[in-house]
Amino acid sequence: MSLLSDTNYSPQRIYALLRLLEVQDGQLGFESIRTWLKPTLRGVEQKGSEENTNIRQLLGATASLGLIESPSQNQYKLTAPVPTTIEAFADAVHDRLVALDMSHADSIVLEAYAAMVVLTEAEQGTSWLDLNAKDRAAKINKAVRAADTEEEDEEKNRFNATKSSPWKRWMIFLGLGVSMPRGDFYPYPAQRLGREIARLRSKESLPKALEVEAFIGRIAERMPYLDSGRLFVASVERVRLPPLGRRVSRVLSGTLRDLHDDKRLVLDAIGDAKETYALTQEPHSVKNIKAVTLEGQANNG
Amino acid sequence: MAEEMHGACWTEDRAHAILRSVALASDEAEFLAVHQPIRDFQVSTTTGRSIEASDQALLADLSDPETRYAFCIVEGEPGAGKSHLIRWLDVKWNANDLVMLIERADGSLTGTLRQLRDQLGAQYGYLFENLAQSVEASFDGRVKLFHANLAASLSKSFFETPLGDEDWCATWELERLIGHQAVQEKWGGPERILKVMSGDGGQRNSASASFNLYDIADLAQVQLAVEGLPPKALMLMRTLKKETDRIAPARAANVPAADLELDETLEIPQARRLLKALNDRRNFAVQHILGITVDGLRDMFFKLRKELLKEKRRLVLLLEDVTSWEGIDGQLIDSLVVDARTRSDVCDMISVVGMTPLYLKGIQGNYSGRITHVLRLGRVRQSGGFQETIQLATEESQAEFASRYLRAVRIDRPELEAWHKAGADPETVPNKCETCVGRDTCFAAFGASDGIGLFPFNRNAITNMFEKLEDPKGTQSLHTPRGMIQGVLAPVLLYPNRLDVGEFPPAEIEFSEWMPERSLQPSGFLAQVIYAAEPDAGRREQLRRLMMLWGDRTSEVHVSVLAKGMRAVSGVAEGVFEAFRLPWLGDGLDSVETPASALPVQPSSATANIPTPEEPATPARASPRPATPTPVSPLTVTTSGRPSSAGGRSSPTSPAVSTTRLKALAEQALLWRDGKPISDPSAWEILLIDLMNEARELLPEPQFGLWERVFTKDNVKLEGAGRIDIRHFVIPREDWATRGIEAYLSTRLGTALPPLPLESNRRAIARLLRRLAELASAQLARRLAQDNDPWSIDGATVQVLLGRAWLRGTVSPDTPLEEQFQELLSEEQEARSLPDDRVESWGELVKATSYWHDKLRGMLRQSLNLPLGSGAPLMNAGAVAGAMKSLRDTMRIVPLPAKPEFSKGLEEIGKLVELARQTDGQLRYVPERENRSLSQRKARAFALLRQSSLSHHLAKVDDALKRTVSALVQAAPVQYQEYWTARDRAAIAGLLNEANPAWERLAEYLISDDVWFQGEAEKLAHTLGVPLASLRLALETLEKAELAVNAAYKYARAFVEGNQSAGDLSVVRSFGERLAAAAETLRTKLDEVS
Repeated sequence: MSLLSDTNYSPQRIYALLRLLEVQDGQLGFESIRTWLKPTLRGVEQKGSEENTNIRQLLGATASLGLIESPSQNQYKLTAPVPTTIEAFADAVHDRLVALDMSHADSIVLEAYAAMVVLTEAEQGTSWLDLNAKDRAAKINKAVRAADTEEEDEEKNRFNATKSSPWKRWMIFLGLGVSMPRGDFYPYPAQRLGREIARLRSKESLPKALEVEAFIGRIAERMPYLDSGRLFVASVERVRLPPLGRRVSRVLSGTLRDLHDDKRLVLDAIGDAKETYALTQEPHSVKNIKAVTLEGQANNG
Repeated sequence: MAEEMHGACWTEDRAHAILRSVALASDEAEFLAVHQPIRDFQVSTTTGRSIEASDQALLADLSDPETRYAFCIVEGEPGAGKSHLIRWLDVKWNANDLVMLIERADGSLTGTLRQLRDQLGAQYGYLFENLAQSVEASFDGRVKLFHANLAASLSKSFFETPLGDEDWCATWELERLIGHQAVQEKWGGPERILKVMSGDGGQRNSASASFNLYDIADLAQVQLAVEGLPPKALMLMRTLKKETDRIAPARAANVPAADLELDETLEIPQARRLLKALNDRRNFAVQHILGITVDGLRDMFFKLRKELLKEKRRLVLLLEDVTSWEGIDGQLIDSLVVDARTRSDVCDMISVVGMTPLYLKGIQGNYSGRITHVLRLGRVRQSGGFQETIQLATEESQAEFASRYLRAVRIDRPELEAWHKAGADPETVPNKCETCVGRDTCFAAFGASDGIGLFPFNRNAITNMFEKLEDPKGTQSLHTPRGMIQGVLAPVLLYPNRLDVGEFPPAEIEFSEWMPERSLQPSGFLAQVIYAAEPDAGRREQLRRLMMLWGDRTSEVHVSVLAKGMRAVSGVAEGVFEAFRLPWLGDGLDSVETPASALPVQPSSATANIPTPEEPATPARASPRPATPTPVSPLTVTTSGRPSSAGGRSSPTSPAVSTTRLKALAEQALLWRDGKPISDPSAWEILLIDLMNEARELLPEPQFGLWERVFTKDNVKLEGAGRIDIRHFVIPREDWATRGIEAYLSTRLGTALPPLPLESNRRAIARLLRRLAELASAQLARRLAQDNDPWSIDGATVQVLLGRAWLRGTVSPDTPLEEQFQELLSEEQEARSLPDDRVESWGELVKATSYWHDKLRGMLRQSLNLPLGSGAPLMNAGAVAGAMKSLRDTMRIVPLPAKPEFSKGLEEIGKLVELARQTDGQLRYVPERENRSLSQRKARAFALLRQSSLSHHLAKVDDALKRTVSALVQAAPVQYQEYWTARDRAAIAGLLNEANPAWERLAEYLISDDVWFQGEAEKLAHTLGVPLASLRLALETLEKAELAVNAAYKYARAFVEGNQSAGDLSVVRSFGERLAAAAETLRTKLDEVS
């Protein structure tokens, strides 16, 4: 059981389940859960099957996240406090996934994202995302840690087209990308980066501006699928991508530039070449960064 | 480059001198210096001699001494070069003939006649004196005269030789109609004609001084103001109104009236007839004003030709524009077609007349046999509209044409004069480029045509500017030599000083109304490239003009290497940037990092028709990578074209926006970026809703139902697109939005893009969606009053509905919460709690929600939905379980916004707050009040039963009443009747059967002790458990029994007291017998009633 082996659920459903359990003193039986989540409504036409597969898969995915346990048959119990907002829930899930050892079955969730960042670097763009779902998933699968045993059956790959559906939902929910109109998932971690910077600053006293190297190091800890992060590095090795050196990856470059343009942070470009990191070349006023000021003047509306 | 690029190599004065657009106005040396041999026109002759399509061949043929008669038509759109050719013929014609060149000049007929007089000179000037005796009247006076002449000429027997339509004119009484005072005052047609004939302030531009359909439409509009018209004329006016209403849309769209006249599918018969009648009489009316007699002009030419015959000279008439003769053009053409070969009293005559295709079409029927040559400078386009000027049909010919002007503006005046004096050999026109030290650098950057540098243009600039010219009024084609001179060359060459101060390309290019704004709007990606390269706003504008006009017009922005090794961005050579002192835009566009060893993936069979990403380009790549194909849109693009993904949320189906409209929106988006308004609001509404739905997918919670209320198609607006109020969500005109929308439209259109713009577009869309999602969240919070003190709409809704369900007794507070949840989301069933038998506040709360509960339930169901693909949706019970529990525990509603403003589509939310507030204020008191009320009723019932069961007690009542009634027939008949009615109901309810569960439940309740409750919910549950219907029925029966017994007792007592006698038992017996009889009678009656 893992986050991607159960496919018929969504992060929003998990959070609904958690809040329900919390209200019900942390524990409920399957039948109660079913009645709550899938009530039989008099006089209302209800679509979908009568089976409870979706609830079973929801419980499975929630258990996989370590948020509930089953003390006895058909009984489900919360194992951790429920975050007060859905955004905090996303943070909590992100934290958990970041903290997972690569041997954990759910490690694939962020490994696959790291592979996407690395492949975008290797392919110098996101055109490869235009592959069909199966080939795209196969490409990602090849860029993540290999399974312990090589399987002929594609369905048993660590990442495949079937798993990509719940995976995309998680990625969007975690603020790591968007669903591109007339396209597929597009890696764009701006929202997550913004949240992680805010969380970083709320937890520790940081100087207003960080040297770029320190900044990337901090981000790599909190978002290991980005530049220098352990998942990123693992995928880089797997793909045999030359080290970035003092370059910022394409995905992170774009994200930093957008956050800079949105005045959520400030990219400081003044410095010697030795002190700076080069952003991916594109038409933009900021080409290199020496430091990152973690405060912007944005008005979010 | 070894050589330095030069600066401006011409002066403003020289540019002014050379660029005089009216061919006949410029100096001969300048004229010849810019002359481009005219060739490849279409030519047809009726002389039996075919001629080559070149100006030289035409001159040779016409000026051949053997040619005794020629009537040569030079046909072309205004500005197509007719005047230039005619002028060139004048310059090159031999000196033997009398050559009279009549220019268009100010376009007026009087101006034309003045020229004629001047051309006649001292020798023949006397001939003119008898020609025109212009009426000494003001313009207004002449308009009145023209109008009056016109009206008079519509009478039946006006012309000696009838025109043929006199009967029709008489039928509709046109003389009285046109001559009517109100028509004279309010109809502007005649005034317009005279204005055009007067040259229209020098702006005549070959406009025809004929009445057109719009004049007829204007006349029809006068109808309402005209009183006293004869019935027939009035009928005609009404018909004209009906007919011309059909052309109103075309008029609004600036369709030239002439086009409508040629449209044979347009059924406007009466309007067409009137139009013809007026135009047939126009010349008469005009000539009358000029004082020209019917044969005046013809006579003058006869006399002149007779004189010339004596001198054995030919008369050569070169008329630039026949429309400037309108009014007397009939006479003129009649004069031109007099062939000396058919009569011996006049000299030979060659005439060359410029006319538009429309004019030629009009005269061809009458003069086709007399026309000897027809030269067509244009050709009909497949797409219709104006003719295409052959001389400038190709990019090469456009560059060649422009280069001659460029060469000319660089020549100093003395050098030009010297060349002219030396014979003006077209092969030796001085070319400054030949001696320029910067020539190679200049040519490499800007290009050249036949050794003439195109600086400061390049080929792209000449072609782009020329092809983008557009007359906003739609009255003329600008793809003519005149368009090239005025619209392309002048706005650049007249400002050489701007080049020297680094302000090139000059802003004046955009001042021309001929250059449509949209053609200068760069794509979002190009704008991004410019923005990144140049911080100064003014210089960004220069770069924009440069890239849009000097660039290659491909949608891509790419770096390439030109033939001479110079780099170029989208066709603009690096040297152009340097010459204009602008920053090179190619940085970052041509450099590609070394790719990694990309892991190969064998495409599955399913990818056969899927574009495969190309191999990454190498750093040496200099030319653009072919565009990565993106899915091509179908003819119509419906929504975003994407199935639901995240969270299984799907966009609501929206109407289609066709590809054509999407393309128009893409153009408008670029204008919107620059602060211009948008059009096609309905298409924008659909598009913006699609866009908002895309953004919604980024929200952690979908907010179903609420989202649709806040982001309606009327509520989502682009900044500047109309008036807004609190309900509107305005997408600001900021870079992220303008760039993102442009990229979004490009994606929706399936535009194929090379990698760099493709990447840029994708990120622009991602940024747009992220920012929109953020703003949408804020808007939701603001409109739902959740920005300061968040409150749970679902929580409040569920609580209002739950309170109602409790009070209606459809579910009890002590039922498991999940069952309550199920109940409150279900369709409502019949109330079970007898709300009307409860305390007042109970019934009030139920009534308050009676109208709204269904709407709120629907809203809640929608809001709690957690769909995923096509599977069964789950309900977000976690969002409301807490609120349900809280209501049960505290009988209080979740926090509500203090002073909410819910209007403009959020009325239901406003009502929810109101109901929630009412529920919060009343619900918690209801259980106690009801419980107290029940206790009182219970105590009363208990007392009335007097320690008996209901059946037992009523048996005693029945016995007493029977006895009374049998003795006293009139004892309390009403109360007795009411009692029995109640008693029967109680019996039906089973309350008189001690073994019946209804009685058992009631008895159990009546004898139970008071209960202590843990909370109000428990108390409420208890009150719901009370057998209220039985209690009410029992109590009612008991009360009726009491009333009946009391009434009977009072009656009996009064009767006994009123009939007492001292010791006579016979009286008592007699009373007893009567009482028994009466009782029997009463019983019978009661039976009948029951």
